[in-house]
Amino acid sequence: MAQGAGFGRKAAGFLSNLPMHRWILIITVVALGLSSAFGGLRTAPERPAAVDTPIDGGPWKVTITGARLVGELPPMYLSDKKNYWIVVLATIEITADQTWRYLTQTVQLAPTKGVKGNLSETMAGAAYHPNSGIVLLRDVTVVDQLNPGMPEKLAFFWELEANAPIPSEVKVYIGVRKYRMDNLTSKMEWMDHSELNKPVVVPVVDRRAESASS
Amino acid sequence: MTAPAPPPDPTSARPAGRHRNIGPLQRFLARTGSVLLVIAALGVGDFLLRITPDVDERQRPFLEQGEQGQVIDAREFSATLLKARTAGVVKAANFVHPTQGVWVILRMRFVAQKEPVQIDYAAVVDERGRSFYASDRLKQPLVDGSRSLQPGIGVEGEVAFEVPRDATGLTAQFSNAGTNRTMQAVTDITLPVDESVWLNREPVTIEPMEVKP
Repeated sequence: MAQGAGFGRKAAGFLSNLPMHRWILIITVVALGLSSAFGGLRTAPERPAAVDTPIDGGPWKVTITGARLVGELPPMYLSDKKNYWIVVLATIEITADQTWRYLTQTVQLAPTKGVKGNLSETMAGAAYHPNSGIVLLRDVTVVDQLNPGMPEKLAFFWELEANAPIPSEVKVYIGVRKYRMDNLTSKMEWMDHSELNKPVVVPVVDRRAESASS
Repeated sequence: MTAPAPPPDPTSARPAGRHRNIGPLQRFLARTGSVLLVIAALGVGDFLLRITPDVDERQRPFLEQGEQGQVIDAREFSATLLKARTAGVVKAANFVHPTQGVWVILRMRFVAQKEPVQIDYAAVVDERGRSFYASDRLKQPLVDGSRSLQPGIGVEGEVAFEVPRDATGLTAQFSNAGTNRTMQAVTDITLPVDESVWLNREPVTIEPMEVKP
C-alpha cells in the first residue's frame, strides 16, 4: 500500500514537472488515439449534393434538375427500340472565358446496372459511363459545346438495356477542374481534378408511357 | 623548441578571436537589417516576376488585324470579311435556332496561299477577352476543319456565332492551327455589327457556301 502511494507521488511529481511542449505532445497523441478508435481517421464518406443546387466545378457551374426514364426521343435514337434512355437534366453555365467543348466532362454517370457501353475512367481512377449524346433543350439540337455567360438547359442521355432493373435514382458526378499551371507547358490551364468530382443522387421519374404514346 | 603561448587574460575586455562583443542596440540593428534585406530581396524577386511576361504572353498568337473588306494575310490563307449581320433566330437546313443572346453571322472569303488548308478555329472575341467559338448547333464545314481549301481558289460562306447580349467590341478570329495557336497567325477583324438587330425575331437564313475563284 505504501509502495503504491509512493509510485503515485512519483508519477504526480513527474507529471507536474513536465514542460508545456511535452504536455501538448501527450494531449495530441491521446486525442489522435481516441479519434482513431472511434473511426476518426477513416476516409470521410462522400456526401451527395442535392438536386437543384448549383455546383461550382471550376470552369462551369452545374445545377442538376432531375432525371427521366424515357423511350426513343429524337434526335436521340436508341440502338434497340426496346431499350430506354436515362436522361439527366442539368442547367450549365460556362464561367471560364471561352467556349467549352466536350461537355461530357461536366456530368458523368456513376456505374449503373444495365447501361450500355464500356465504362471509362477519370484521371483519379473512378469509373463512369460516357454519355450517348447531349441535347440542348432550347431547340432540341445535339451539342457538345457551350458559350461563356450563356447558361443553358441540357439533357444528357445514356442507353439502358430493356431487361435491366429500372433505377429509382441514379448517381452522377459533377466534374471539377482547377485553373493552375501545367507542369509540362508552364501554361495556365483548367486542369483535371476529378478526385474532387462532386456526387449528386438524382431521383428518376419514369416517363416511358408518355414517350411511347407521343 | 618554442615557448608555449601564454593563457588568455580573463580580465581583458575584448576576448581573443575575430568577433567583437556587440551591445544590445547593435544586435537589434543587425537583426533588423537582415530581415529588411530578406524582405527587399523578396520584393525585388516579386517585381521581376511581375514584369516578366509569362509563357502565355511570350508565345501568344500573332494577331493580324484588319477591317471589313480588307484582305487579311494569315500566313497559310487569307481571310476577308465581306458582310456582317446579327439576328435573334437563324434558320439552317430547315431547322430554326433561337438564342438567348445574339447571332453574329459573318460572310467570309477564304483563299489558301500555297498548300491546301483547313480552317479549324473560328471565334468572336469581345472586349472583355471572352471567346465565343463558331456554333455547333448548325453544320459549319467552312470552319470546323472538314472543308479543305485549295490554293488560289476562293471559298465564300457564312459563319454563325452566338454571343451574349452584353458582348461588345467584337472581333473575328480565324486560324488553321486548331487548339494550339501558340505563335501562329490568327486574324483579328473588327466587326461592324449593329447590336440592336437581335430584337428582330424573324429567322435569318444562313447562305450556302460557294466556290468563287
